Amino acid sequence: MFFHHPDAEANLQRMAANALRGASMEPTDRRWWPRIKAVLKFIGWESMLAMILCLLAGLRDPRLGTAMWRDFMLAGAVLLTTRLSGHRFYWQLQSSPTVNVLWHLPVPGRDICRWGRGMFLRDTLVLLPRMMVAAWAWQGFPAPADAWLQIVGMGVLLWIVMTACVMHDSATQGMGNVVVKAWSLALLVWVVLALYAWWFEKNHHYGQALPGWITALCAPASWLLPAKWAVHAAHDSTALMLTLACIVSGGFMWWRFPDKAAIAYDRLFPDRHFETPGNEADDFSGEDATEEIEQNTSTGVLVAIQHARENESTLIHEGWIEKLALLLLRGRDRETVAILTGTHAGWTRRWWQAVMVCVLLLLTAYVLVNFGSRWIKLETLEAWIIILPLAAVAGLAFPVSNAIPVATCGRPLGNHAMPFFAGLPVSVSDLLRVSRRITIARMAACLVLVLPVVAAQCFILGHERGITVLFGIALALALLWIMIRPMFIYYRLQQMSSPARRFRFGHLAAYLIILPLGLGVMTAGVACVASVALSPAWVLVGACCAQGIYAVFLRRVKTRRVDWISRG
Amino acid sequence: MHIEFNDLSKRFGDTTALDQASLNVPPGSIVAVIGENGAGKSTLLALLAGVLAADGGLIRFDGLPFSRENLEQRRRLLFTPDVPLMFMERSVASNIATLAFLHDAKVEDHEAELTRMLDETGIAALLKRSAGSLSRGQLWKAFLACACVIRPELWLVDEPFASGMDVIGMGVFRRLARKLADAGGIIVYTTQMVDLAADFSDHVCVLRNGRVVLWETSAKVREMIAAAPEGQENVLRGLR
Repeated sequence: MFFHHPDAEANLQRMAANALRGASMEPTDRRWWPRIKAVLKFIGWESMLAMILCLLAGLRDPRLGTAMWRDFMLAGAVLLTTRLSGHRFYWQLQSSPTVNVLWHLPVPGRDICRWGRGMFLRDTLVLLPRMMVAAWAWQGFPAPADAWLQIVGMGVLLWIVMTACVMHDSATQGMGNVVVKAWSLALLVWVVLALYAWWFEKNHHYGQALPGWITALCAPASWLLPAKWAVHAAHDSTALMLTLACIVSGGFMWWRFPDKAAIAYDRLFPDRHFETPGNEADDFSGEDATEEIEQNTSTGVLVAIQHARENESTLIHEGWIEKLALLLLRGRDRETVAILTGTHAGWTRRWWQAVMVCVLLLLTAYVLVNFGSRWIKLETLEAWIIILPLAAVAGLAFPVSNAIPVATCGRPLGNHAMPFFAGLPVSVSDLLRVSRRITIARMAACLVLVLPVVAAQCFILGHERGITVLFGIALALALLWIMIRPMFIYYRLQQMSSPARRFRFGHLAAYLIILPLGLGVMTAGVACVASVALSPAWVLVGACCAQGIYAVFLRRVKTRRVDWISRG
Repeated sequence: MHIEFNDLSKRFGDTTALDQASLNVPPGSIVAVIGENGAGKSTLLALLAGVLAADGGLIRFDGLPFSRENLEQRRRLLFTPDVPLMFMERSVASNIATLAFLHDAKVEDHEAELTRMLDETGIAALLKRSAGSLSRGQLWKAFLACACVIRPELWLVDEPFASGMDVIGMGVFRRLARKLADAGGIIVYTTQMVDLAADFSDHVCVLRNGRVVLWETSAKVREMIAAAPEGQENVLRGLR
């Protein structure tokens, strides 16, 4: 036996030294496929985002995009990237597995924040190409060989401004200050205008210019977006001053961040360093404990347990949609759903919120259309009258989430939910059956709201003939949504499980089957929207494809190719 | 309940966690699975519970192949990983009721025993507390109450003696496990403490590098331990 191994010792020392410089101590994964996959994923994702950038900026057809509009759209896209990077930064410092370990070690808070800042910088470097694309689009797609210096320079400047903005945002640990709130507001306006532009492009010829009020709104709003300052810094002194102020103050915050943030984190998470799950229970003593012991001992135990179960079962009865869902469920499923939906589903409460918002919006629309024609043109209102109430319904009453979060590993439960589902006697088929019936109840409630809203919209806009067509589309989409439920069960479960065997061909074959089936579902969805009446054939096609996707997954489960604990 | 598995294998990437492990466990027995760190003990339990899927081999419960989607089989087993799976946002009482319901068990059938257990372990005072506010040892004690109601025919327990429970909790676990075994059930638990495994089991299974290297009665293992000063290490290495 070797008691001393100089090579191994030297190797460990080298790894430790590298780790202190930020390198991983894990052995390098030398397999070629994960690397190629990562590169392909990066290229694919960035290409798609670049296309969206160009599309939003109206640069696909130069007649559509004015310079003002282009400034606003591209600067908004850069700000959106900035905010997402900021969220990644918070996550790195608050919830990443590494930081959870670091906060429990005797490491100074400022060192952890410095580490988080370094990781953020490293992760943000990959955004440089996206900034270059934005810079290229900004300059109107000149030949790269002729203008590469300007493109690279502007891209790097955008990246620096973006990093400075994240530091501004981070200075208050995401709690927001006036500047950050202004950016959030600008971002909101940007999203709404981008949606409007998309709708406008779909409904008008490409050659038609955007309405004047959009450019009028973009002009002041675009000055809230730091990327605009950076782009115009070369020829506008105001923009130059703003850019310099942003970079200098961001740089100062970057320098001060480890000290400031460490104090802020201590304030936010006072027990973080030595947090243990048992503290609360260990503190349970004194009169409260005596009283509770007296209540729960002897025959009180059964009463307490039965009361807990009854109490939990009744929580699901909180509204008419919940009751309707329970009506569709029988026997064991009724109890299972009370467990799997969590204690407060909130479907009815959200439905009523949607009703109130829709009534308010439609009343406003009616007043504006009938009495406000002096101040505003009807054609500019039309989009809002259609989009806003339907968006409220989609956000509040559409059965898209919050159905069975415990079973299908809703985000807050994270990795805990899947072993739970795996450990309990609840099958994949149980999940599908419960989920489908809940969706039927919630979709029925949604239609009860959508159909009158659509009718009211047609009435206000004077398109009474369109009501039948829109009803047909709404019914087709509702049916399709219910029928494609198996696909979502597949999506949720495969997301948190992992392939049990490294049998790549089997895995690949499953995806090769799933891909065309997924396309089939999408085609059915598009066809349902495009059809002028209810189209049962397309609903059936969608249902078959979704069932096919689920069947592939179920077969993999039954042939023991799925682990219910994801191993990353 | 009678369980049997043949040539059970499981790999995680390049690591072989279980390598063609085979065993035939008679009904009414407590089995201690011991092994070095990384020997495959927890993987074996997760495979038997259906949480992980085997790469090869077959598991049979009462002669029938085990399938995760077969709920009749699933309701007969209870899996307790090293941190018991409970609904953390719900009360202890609610957890007991929920797990009992999912396993088709009735709380009132075992009221007297459950009451005694809850009083003894101190969990009676915490019935209305959320499971997430309990310490790890308390969580284990609360899960013992669930097991008391569910009465699993196959109870798979990961590291109960490293659970943070005090001696009262350990005593309750031992008594409950013995009672379930006497009723014909099987209790499979993992531990790294060889002497403890020999003292509290009917059979000892030693895993090494994913293989079953020793399967003996606990009496025989106690003899092996006593036979040499390094008896415990020898058992852990599967040396007779």
